[in-house]
Amino acid sequence: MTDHTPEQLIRTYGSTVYRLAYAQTRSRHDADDIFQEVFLRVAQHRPTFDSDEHAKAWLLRVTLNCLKSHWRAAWRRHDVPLDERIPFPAPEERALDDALRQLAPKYRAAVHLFYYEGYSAEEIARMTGEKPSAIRTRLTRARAQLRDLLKGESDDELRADLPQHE
Amino acid sequence: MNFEQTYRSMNESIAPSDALLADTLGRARAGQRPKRRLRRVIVIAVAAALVLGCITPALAANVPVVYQALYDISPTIAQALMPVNESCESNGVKMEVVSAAIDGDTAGVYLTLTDTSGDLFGELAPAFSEGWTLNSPSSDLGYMHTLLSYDAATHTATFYLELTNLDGQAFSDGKYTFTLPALLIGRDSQLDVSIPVDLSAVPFDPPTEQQMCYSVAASGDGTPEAQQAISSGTYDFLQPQDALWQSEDDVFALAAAGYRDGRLHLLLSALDRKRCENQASLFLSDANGAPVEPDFVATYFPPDGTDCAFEEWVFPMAYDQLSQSSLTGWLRTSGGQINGNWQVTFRLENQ
Repeated sequence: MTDHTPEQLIRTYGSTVYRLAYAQTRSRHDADDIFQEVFLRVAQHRPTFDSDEHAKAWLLRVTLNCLKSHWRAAWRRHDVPLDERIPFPAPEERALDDALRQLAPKYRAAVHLFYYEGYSAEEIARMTGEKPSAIRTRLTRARAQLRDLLKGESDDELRADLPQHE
Repeated sequence: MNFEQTYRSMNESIAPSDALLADTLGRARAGQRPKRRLRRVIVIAVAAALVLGCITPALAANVPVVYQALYDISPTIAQALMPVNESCESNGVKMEVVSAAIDGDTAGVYLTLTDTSGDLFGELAPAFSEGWTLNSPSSDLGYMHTLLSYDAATHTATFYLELTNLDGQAFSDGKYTFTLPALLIGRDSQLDVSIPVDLSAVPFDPPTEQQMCYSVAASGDGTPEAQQAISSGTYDFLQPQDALWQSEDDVFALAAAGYRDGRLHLLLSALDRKRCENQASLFLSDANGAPVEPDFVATYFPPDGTDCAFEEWVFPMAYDQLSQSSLTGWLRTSGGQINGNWQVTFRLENQ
């Protein structure tokens, strides 16, 4: 069994959790809240895992659950103030960030888990509790939207079919 | 623009701030709860309790807290739990599977363990030993368990266990058997135990002996040394010397230290590793107090069958920095293991 203190889990997986939280919320303030909620739950309940792989997948699932609760809260802002956004100095990154903000939040999470964390649509479906076909559809639509939003930015990646790391 | 490349480079700069990390660690150590919409959780907990009607009197007062904990960990399973209320008793311990649920590739079991004699558990909650099972269609399984509560007055511990088919196979409707072959009693955990060893005097190229590895745990893909140990199954461990440090209960000892291949090697021994699952983790900090992650940890058991694990912790640190580094430990021990024949069969259906 893999015993980790909460501190070890935060050090090892803190950035992973934070990136997913920011990917969906696009707000430092909200990502901070989600990050803290996830790891205080871990500290509270001290789960024991049998492997690091399982611990990471479990933490990502808990993050997705916290994100679901976050978006259900009626008082959530829809627009994120500029000072809560992470600034990206490179023009391409700024353009992509603007485009990602216009995607639906659930598309952003799927894009992040697929393109950054390298999970397959099947694996993402298991984490989110949805069907793989729904995740594939979501990814296809996200790519189509990004292609439209990034008009003028040549990208074979967005034009091609979903890469096969499934 | 290359989308994937740009997306990756954006994310490399996204990380929690130092202030957030410090605040979260502080709250975690203080046992503070995350902010919650409490009213909604209590409604679920009470409704679930009424529907299930399965909460034992010892837990009745604790229902909202226990269900809130379950909801924190696994909300989908928490909402899908179905009453089982099957129990068995072995060697003075009664196990009751209170409720369970399956949800796709995940199964959750909520159970209690009660010391019916009153002499076994004491003030400390029992702990699960490795080896608990729930029959599954997959051979690629992830196990997780957590203690939800312990009532020392009634000697009753409540646990949540979760099994995940890592290959994605779904749990199908049908009969399931939960089996628990052993328990650990008197499980104790000590964090931040100071290990006052003078690392500035660590010898270069210390004597080693080749042993068969019981396990090798490496971060990421591992160093070439770790990969070699994993592929060959053997490693040149430090030879145990006179103990440089021993824990107060004499369970753990720093049996040797040395410097080779540009790394600090520390050999930690743990008595009764198999019987009591006594285990320790070493934490090395540099001169600034920053943690130094180990490259890998290799473990062996003596060939004569002695129940004493030897773990070699390998840390990347320049030799001239050793004198300013510090070492602490996280020590986990138990008073013993109770073997039993706890087994409960029940039916589960996907909701």
